[in-house]
Amino acid sequence: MTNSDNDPVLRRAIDDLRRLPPLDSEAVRRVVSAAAVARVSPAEDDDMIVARPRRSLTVWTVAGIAAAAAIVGFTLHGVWTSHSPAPVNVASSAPAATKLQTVDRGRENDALPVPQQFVFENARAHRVSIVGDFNGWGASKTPMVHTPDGTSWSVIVPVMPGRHIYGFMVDDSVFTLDPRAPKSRDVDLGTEGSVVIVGRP
Amino acid sequence: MSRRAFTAGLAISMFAFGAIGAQSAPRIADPDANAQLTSIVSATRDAGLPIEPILSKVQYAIVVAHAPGPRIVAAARAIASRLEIARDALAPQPNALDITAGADALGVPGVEPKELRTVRAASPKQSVAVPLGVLAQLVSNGVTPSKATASVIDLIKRGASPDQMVALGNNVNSDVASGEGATKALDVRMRGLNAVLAPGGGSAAAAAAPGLSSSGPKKP
Amino acid sequence: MYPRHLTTRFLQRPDPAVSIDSTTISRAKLGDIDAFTAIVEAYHQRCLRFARSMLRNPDDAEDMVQEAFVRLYRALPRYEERYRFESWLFQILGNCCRTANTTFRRVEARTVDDESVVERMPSSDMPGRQFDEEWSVAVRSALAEVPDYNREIFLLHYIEGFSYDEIERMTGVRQSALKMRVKRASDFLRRRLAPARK
Repeated sequence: MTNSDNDPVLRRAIDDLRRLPPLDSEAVRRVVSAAAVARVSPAEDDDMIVARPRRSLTVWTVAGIAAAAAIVGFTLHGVWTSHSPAPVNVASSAPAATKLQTVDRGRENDALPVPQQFVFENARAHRVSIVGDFNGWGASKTPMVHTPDGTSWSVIVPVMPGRHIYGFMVDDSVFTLDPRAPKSRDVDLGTEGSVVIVGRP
Repeated sequence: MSRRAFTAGLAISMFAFGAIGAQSAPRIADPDANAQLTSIVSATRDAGLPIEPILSKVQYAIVVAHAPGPRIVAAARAIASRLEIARDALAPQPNALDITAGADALGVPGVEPKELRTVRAASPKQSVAVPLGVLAQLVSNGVTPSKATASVIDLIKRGASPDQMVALGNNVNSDVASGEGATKALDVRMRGLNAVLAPGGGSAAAAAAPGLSSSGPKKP
Repeated sequence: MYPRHLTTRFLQRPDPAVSIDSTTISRAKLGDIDAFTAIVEAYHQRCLRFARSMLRNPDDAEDMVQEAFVRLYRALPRYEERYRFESWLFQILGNCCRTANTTFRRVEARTVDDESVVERMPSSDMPGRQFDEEWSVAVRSALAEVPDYNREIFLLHYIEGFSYDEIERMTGVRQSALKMRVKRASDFLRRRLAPARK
């Protein structure tokens, strides 16, 4: 602990804050009455997560997962019924990528996403997507477009200024680094990703 | 609080189900891990910190790293901690973009909060996301943290634009990939950039020597 | 980890020993209302103390404490003694207070109603100690300005005496971040209160 904790001002403040209110028997009675009449229902809040970690999928969390599955079910339906990835207009952006970026708090954020082109050479792949921290690593969100000569895949994605990790998902299953980009090892998970630093115009 | 758990659980699940394909929707199979992640996300949000870096890391861990539940939880906790440290180092009142960039930089071995504080002090009013990104990448390439920080500070004070800083970082990357030593590559590239930057700050165009054109946009 | 005198002064449980044994908890789990009453009596003062300092609107403290105990009572049948009972109780109470704070809207900067603050202040429980009302008002006003997330950890650690290990389990926040929050709150209080002490 720091020297500030020896500070007499702080010690005196803590002493003051530690003073207990008198025991209010009437308040205790009200609490017990309220608890006694409260309906007993399945655990519906996360207060039990710590106390009962083995059964920690609370109703709310399970409901969240179920709701997400329903939503994704609608999304995947569109993917299943399409035979080829919709061509991506060079000038268009993938809105989903920007939604996952920063939530403004505190000072106003004056940065805007910057269109960034990614190119991946692979003539044999059937499908290639770009996945990165700018689109939540969702392969279905940013499919790449085959170049006319069939040797490469390309996409332009709006990316917030700063350093980003990404890669390419080939045929929905093989994560591949960008051979043109520097690599970075994830300090938490030990795996590698490609790095892009995006400036601000 | 239960609604918040719902929202956090939904957010995590949305990422978990943002599938790599119809055939194999990744999910967090470990209910303990799922609950702990919900708690971490809730706590991070309650603290006024951006949660997207945590959600992104979780999805990366599922889709790319195929990490087990406990490892994912440890990674999420580590990011939450770095976000908080970054906010403190980039005080006062950094925006979410800067906090995210700071946390990312702290994830590079060798980068400490003092580097973030130094960069913030050099650029108190503008976003430091790009300088921190360049700093992180230079250190990742093998430049010492103190040298990387000093170089970034120098660029800020000389009025380098974000694109000029990015170009420097990318050029050092290429040089290192070609076998050049990181420190030497940085020195060479800094000399090249300094030739078009003002000695004590100012627009690149104004300081351009005859015959040299400024590279990149002017100082914002 | 801590200097001895700090450990002695700050981290020992500051309150008279509250003895809630596992038998009482077991009985309460089975629905014994008298056992639950004993639990409420044992912890009500501490919970009220915490809530009054934690909430943006201290007038809600009694309601929040009641809400926390009701939640605890409903969840008791599923309680497993993997963690200490009181850390679980304060986790529930902290959740309630945080929810209340996020929904409470301040119309403008909080102005302390001196009269209501004085009414809410506890009487001294340390015989012989002079009760300084003006100082107490200053302390509570300053504490109210500490950001919620820093204030909560400061209260849990310095006032309620929870260790960082326990708080990490209760909140999911890493210890390094917890210590930083406590430091920021402490530094703020020290700076704000130093002139008032004179």
